[in-house]
Amino acid sequence: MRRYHPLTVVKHLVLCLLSLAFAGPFVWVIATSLKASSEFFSPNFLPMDGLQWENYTQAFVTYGLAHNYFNSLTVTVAAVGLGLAIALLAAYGMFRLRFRFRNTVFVALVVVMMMPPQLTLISQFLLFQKSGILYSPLALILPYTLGVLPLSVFILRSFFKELPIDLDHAARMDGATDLQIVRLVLLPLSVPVLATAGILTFIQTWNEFLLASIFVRSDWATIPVAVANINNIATQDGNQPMKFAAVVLSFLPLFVLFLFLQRFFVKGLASGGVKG
Amino acid sequence: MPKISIGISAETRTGWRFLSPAILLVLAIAIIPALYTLGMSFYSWNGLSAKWTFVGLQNYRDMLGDKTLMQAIRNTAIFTLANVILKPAAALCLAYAIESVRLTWLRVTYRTIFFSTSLISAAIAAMIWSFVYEPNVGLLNRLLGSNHMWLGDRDLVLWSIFAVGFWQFLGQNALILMAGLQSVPRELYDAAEMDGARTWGMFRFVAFPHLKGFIAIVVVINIINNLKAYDLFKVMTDGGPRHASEVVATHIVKQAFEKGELGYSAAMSYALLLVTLVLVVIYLWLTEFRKEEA
Repeated sequence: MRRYHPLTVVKHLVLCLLSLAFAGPFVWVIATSLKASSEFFSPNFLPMDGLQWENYTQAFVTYGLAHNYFNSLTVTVAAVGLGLAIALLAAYGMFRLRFRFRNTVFVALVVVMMMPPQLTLISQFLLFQKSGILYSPLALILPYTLGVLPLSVFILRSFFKELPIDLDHAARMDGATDLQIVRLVLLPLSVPVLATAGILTFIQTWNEFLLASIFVRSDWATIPVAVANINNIATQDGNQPMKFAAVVLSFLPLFVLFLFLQRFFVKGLASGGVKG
Repeated sequence: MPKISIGISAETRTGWRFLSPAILLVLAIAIIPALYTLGMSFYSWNGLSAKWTFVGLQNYRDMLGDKTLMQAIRNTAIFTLANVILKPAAALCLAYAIESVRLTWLRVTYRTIFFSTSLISAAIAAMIWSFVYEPNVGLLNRLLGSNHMWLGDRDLVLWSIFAVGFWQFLGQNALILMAGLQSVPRELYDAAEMDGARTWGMFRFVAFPHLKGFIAIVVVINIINNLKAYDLFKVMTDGGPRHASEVVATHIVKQAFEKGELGYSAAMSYALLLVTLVLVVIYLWLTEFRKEEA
């Protein structure tokens, strides 16, 4: 029989208990989301009166979360797609060409990342109002696209640094234009890092709350804001478990995304975070 | 225009072309609004009337006499300090513990569970924990058999909210450090073992020096994100009870949208950015400095 070091036993015990504590709130929220309204105040941890899947259909259909999914998806996909394209072009200019102002632009991006959103919130509000895009999805897509840039540029930077510059030279020798080099040489090679940047910024964009609660009205409300609203309404309507169902629906897509694409996260957090 | 092209290399010109979408976006959505806010901070303006009254530095001076702001600064400082010290330290232990789990499936399971909390929106995390903290039917009081007002107690509320942020981002911090641990060359451990190093020695003399850059990143992320933390506070308590959990970010938004003090709110935003920049620069300078010494 193998003998275990006492420290190893303690480690496993602590990890086990701690992970239970971390998963606990999720499990409890899911369990409560399947309770009947009448059962909400009972001390049982699990639903005893049968699983009330209606809570989910109610949140999804009656309270219109389906529509908010569409909003979130539209805004997020547009911002991430646009942001990655702009980041790829910028990264080519900064890290594949001898561009004199690369450090200036890079520092600007870092400062943008540190800005508290409150700093630009009101000015953006006025700007969008003046240009007539306030309360339209563009009012979210534009700032979200900007939000995609810093992390994507960091990740592309560390990738482009390791990629031999001879690739570009060879393509140029063959008569490729700069745009063709990006499209035909660098883009295919960058797919894995772009996927990483895309997933990380997808989550960040999907979860944004402050701008989403101010720049659009209920017709373009995204998931976090809509769930916050349902949270208030359901309390008045007396349908408590349905609030929990709405919360579960808000994080479910991201959990699924994470489970399938886990490896991109670990790599991305490492490269994007550290070498930046 | 051939005249302009003299002195600017073709590559720099192409560079500008490729950077122009990014630069346009940064200018239009960040720099110009930020400058507009800077201008606003020298005026008194309620956001509705056309009348802007120039007040010079008065908005900045007003901060000193704002009792709620002082309370908010105190809370923000405590919250950020707690996050910057406790979270990376705990994340380091967690990362080291998880990385040393031998069974791959168990290691991946732990990683997944701890990281999963950082996938959700801070606003949603705040809602989940509002349910957990609910005094009568909430999970926490049920488990403890108590009836604490976790969010209603002035002495407790800041720490109740801190726990949520800790729960949400501990796993993310640990994951970054795990990436660092994975980059430590295997041979270094073997060499240390040969020299008779035990668990602690391995950590202290092999892993830790390698992790310094990664720890710096985790600390900087915590400084930036916690100084501007808003969603948690907004959704859970909105600064209450009686400003006990007011932070600078919630105070800024309230001054703008509830009080209509846009100029004052702008001035505070700038003070917040300045503090963030200074802290990050000081921290990076200190860690770089130490690296040179070593």
